[in-house]
Amino acid sequence: MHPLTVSAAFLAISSAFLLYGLSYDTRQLEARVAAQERLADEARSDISVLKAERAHLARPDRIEPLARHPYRRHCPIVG
Amino acid sequence: MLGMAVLFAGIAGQLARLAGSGSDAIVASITEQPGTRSYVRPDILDRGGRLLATDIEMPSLYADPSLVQSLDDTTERLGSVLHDLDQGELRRLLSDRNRRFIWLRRGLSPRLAQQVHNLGLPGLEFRTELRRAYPLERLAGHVLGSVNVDNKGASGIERTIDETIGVEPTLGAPTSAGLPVRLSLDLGVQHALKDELEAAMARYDSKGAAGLVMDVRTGEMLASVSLPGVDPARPSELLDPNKTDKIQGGTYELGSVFKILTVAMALDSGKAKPDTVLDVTKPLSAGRFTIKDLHSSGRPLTVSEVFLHSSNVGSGMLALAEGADKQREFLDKLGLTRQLRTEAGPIAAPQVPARLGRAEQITIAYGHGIAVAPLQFAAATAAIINGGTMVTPTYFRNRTNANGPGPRVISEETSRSLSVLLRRNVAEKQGTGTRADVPGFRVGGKTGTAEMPGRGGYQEKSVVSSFLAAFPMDAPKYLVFVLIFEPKGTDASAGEVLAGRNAAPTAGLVIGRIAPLLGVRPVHDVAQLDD
Repeated sequence: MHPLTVSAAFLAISSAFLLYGLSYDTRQLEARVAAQERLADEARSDISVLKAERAHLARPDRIEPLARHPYRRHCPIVG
Repeated sequence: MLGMAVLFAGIAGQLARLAGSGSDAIVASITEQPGTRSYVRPDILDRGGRLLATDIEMPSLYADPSLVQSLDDTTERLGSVLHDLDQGELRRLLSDRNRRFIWLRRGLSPRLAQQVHNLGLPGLEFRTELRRAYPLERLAGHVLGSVNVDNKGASGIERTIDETIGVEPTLGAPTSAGLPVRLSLDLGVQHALKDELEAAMARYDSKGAAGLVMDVRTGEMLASVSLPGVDPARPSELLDPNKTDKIQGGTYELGSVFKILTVAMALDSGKAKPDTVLDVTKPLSAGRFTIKDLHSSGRPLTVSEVFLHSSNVGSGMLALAEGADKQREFLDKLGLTRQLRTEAGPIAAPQVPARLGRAEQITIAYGHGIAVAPLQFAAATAAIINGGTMVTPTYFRNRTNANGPGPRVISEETSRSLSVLLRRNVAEKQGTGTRADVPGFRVGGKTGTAEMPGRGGYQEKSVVSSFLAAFPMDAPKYLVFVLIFEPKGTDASAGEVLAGRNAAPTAGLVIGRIAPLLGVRPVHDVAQLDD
């Protein structure tokens, strides 16, 4: 067999393994990205709920009586 | 040799396939969810950046009837958690095995969703959707409006967001909603106004109350309250006729506060000066009607005194001297004869007589026979006291500044004269608005007590009491308009229903609370403004 043919075959097979490895890594990375995106979505969702809760706790009709309370220095109103 | 060619061709084909297939399909297969969509909305903030509305994710329950195993068991056990579910209807829906998707409940609380999940019923699934949350509940319900079940704007500011900024559809997972929408409202001012109006409703045993605070130079609305209030999270409340937005959703005959406009018209045309004397001792006649003053002073009055004594006869005489055409032209210039709109929706169309005869001229001069929304009247009055230029009322921050001042409607001199009269009406003993005074804040204002129309004519004891105030009157910046609907003569008002006894002191209480919030400093050594 011609050495050029052998070299070409070797290169082709090596490329195939390399490509398979790259493809595998890519899928792994994509899975990690998707997981991170899910975590980010969850965090974003949690932030939305916390923002709404904070606004609810800081609404003026709740804050005002607390602010006027004589012992207000001892009780945190909102974080 | 042929084998090698086939091998290379195979490898080339695989390379081409790998190169051609992007990662999008893989990502899509991970994240895609079939089914209906909701809309991502921007947050709504007040002028200080405090949150008024935001999107939160909530689980919605749906069923796939083809996967439901026991109809009776599913119906019964689901009904034990969702008590208000119509079990007959649920049974009918689930028995249709040809359907693959039926919404059972949208926007469940996490606790209820967990309880349904714990039932472990086959065929029931959850999908995350975006729902609008209004953490301040009823504080600015009429202005904010509401969204529908898909999170699309249905009314108020929410609808304007859809129409002007636009909202993006999403399939459950939240995406970027863009920059928040910043309103001109100030939560602190809004709360103080609502609090004082609620107290006034209890104090005067009234059926409703409304109020607004406006920046007279920009038209920005700092507060807008209509009681009884509505919760934007319960859209059905917005449709309740008893909870109509009285600030811009209804028109009312506002009574003597209209004399601000009548006197401004007379002074601006040059036909009268503050010291021009009018003989108001005799009643005015118009057809079968006779117009007289409730508390006649029994002597001729100057134009200033007509304002301070709130003389109907004097106001009618000023309007007659002007003429019908000029009076209508003046109302046109102030935008009181055409329908306006704000970002919270259309303002109720004003009701103005098609022809101004003698009777209409006289009655409009003191605020009867013409019905306008309080917001529209406030915008017109802002032009009278801000130096004489029209403003467009807005709930968005800094929207009108870009266009510069609006068209001039009266001269600066006339505007100054009216500011002096408004201040005198509060500061001097003979004025009708003395109970609105707040030491140091140079309050000016005008009372209005308008009998409400009913069966067989106007009802003497059923009135809309209002007080239009502005401060500080040495350089008017803020306008406060307070309306009390059908107040009763209680001990707090010495048994009277006059605006000087209920709306004026309420406006004073409001100003006493909001002036420090708005950065207006009290000045205790200011000289009394001269006429």
